[in-house]
Amino acid sequence: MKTILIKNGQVINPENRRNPVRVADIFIRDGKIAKIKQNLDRPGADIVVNAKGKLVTAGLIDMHVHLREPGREDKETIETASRAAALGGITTILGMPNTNPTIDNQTAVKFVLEKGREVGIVNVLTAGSLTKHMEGKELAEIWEMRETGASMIIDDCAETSGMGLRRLALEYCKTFNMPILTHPEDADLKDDAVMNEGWISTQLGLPGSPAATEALVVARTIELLRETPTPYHFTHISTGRSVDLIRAAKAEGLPITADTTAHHLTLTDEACANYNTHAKVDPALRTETDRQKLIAGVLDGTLDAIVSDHAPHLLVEKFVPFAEAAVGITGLETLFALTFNELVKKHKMPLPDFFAKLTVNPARILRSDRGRLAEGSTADITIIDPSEEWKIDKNKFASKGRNTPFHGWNVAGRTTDTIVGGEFAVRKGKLQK
Amino acid sequence: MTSAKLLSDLKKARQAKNLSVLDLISTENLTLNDVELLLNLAGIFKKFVEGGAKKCDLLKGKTIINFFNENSTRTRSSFELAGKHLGADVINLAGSVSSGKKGETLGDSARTLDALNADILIIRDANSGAPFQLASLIRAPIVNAGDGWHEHPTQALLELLTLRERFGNKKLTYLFVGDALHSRVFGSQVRLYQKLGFEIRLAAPATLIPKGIENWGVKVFYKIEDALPGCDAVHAIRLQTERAAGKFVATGREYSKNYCINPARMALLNKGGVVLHAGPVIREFDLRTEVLESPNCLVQQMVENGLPIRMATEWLIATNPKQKANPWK
Repeated sequence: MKTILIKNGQVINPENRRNPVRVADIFIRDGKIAKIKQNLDRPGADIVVNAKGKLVTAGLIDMHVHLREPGREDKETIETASRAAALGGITTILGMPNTNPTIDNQTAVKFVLEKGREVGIVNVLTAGSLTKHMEGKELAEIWEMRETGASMIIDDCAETSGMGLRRLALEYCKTFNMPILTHPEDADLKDDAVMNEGWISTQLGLPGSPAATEALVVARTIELLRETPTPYHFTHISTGRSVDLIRAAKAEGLPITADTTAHHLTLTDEACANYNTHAKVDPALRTETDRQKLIAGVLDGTLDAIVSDHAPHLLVEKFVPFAEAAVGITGLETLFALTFNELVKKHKMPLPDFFAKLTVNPARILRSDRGRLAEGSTADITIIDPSEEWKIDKNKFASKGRNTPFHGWNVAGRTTDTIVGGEFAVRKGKLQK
Repeated sequence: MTSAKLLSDLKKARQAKNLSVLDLISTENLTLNDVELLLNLAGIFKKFVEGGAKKCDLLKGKTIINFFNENSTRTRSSFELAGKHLGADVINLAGSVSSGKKGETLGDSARTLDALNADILIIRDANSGAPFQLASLIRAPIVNAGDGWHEHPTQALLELLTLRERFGNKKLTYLFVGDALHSRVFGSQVRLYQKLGFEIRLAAPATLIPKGIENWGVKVFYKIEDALPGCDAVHAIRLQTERAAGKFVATGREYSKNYCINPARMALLNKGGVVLHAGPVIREFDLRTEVLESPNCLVQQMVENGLPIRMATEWLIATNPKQKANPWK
């Protein structure tokens, strides 16, 4: 394995309290970070990267990705998702279990993990389904999935609205300390809604769901967690009210974490105007008030992580009337740039706080040893040119997905190099595999 | 008046005027001049049809396709007859039968029809926004004949023509009653009436009131008796039971008890106030028969005005010298 020396980059380490941002060199040997130091002298390095003026961070972690494989390889494969992730500066992705077959048993977990290793571009992790076939009826073999390497278990409220099953899930997962990830939406309240309920849905004549669709499940789950505290993660939070509830529950000391998405931080339901099916997502894009509260939640630490909720679809699935269109956005390649522009450029979020949301925080939630930039840790490193301005072009995505409402957006900040386990996945903006 | 005289009146009223829009998808995009032009021409077409001549050749050689993906008899017949009276060749297609069941997308079906070189594609679809989404995919101008809960522009225009016949240009105080949430006719009317400066009210149970309609200047009431005084017109919106609106009220009995327009409620209107309904009327549920039979109930006039409004619409849309951009080139 070749040694790599990254010179003069702005090294960002949120865990380094005294010097979270400093100009330093990083030496990588045998897939590990061997040394971080200013003016490091390593004349024998095989590859030297001049990172002057660039940001050097632990590789980004996206803990909400729809890989589509197995079952819908026409939409995305573990390989194409891995390539898209690497180009987006992401070195670890957590796959969601709503594939076909569902990731609800050890064989399926093993398939995803092995396929990820075989592709060998980024670290591919997987979540398992809480219930068999995601039907919301009987618990799946979660314990065995945990032993096989599933990182989390997802309780998808679209399938499991019943509180009885959720309580069972909490207790069962507590038995073997399995963190639960939930998509909080009340299926009954959501009904046939295709977007946020409000003035925009009224003008479009489309059925909308109220913000309480999400907040209700958050509130109910918090009550259950009081009795059965077990690590619990709320994903893709979309409403301000949910942020309030999570903030209060965290203050109480409940073992809760949460994330929101790049699109909920940058768009509102107004993006659905003119029946723009690319803005159709689950949970729905909400109002500007919600968006501001999400940003505040990210800034004050209520929301621990930011995810893409990467959901590639066939073009035809968005080329239909709004109510019939598939939900989701292809997001791996735009996660960093969109959030960097919104949070760091617009809201002046300090770099270490920002990168914590994309590295060490999701790593902690996933109980992964990745996402750290310290001597001795695995060399997953992303190098970013913060000043490179580029136009988002869906036709240049490495993902198979072309469904994005961000096509044509001008953003600043682009990954130049992605290093995974001490090897270049992306070098000078080009995929190496 | 002779039909020759009326035809020359039509041409005089039209002169070189055209609509500012190429498609008719929403009343929101119509200018006041557009509205006046449509109503003027429809008024003359009405005399023409009533005179018994009916048929003319204003759209001779033009092709109109009725592309209806949702059951409709009245609206489709009205558009069809309007086209035939104008001398156009009209064909009717039911999308759900012709393509949807074979797995073709709506857009591809529309493109196939577009290849027939139609001069107007008249679209009815259960999906809100379908006509808007198709408009940029095809070169034929589109007329929206009702899309989901969104809009049904000609239905609003025919009611406005009816109101003009009774009230002239007066800025009316106008009350909607009932299911505004699922009504595309409401969607077109509220945009049109706001443009005309009407004072707009809605009386309905909260379950049937769309969110944010104060942005359209609508004043909301729960009790119909509070809403009626001071109104020149009241429009009873049919409860859209076929769109699962039934669950939004407890029972039809309770709904009609609170919102059916009966003679006592009608008497609360301003003197000469009128009752409207877009049909089909459910007697004793939306309107009491005594009300329906009153000379101030304009339901029949509305039905009659459908044909001339659609003739004016089709004539203007099919002969607009401005062409849509050709998406094929």
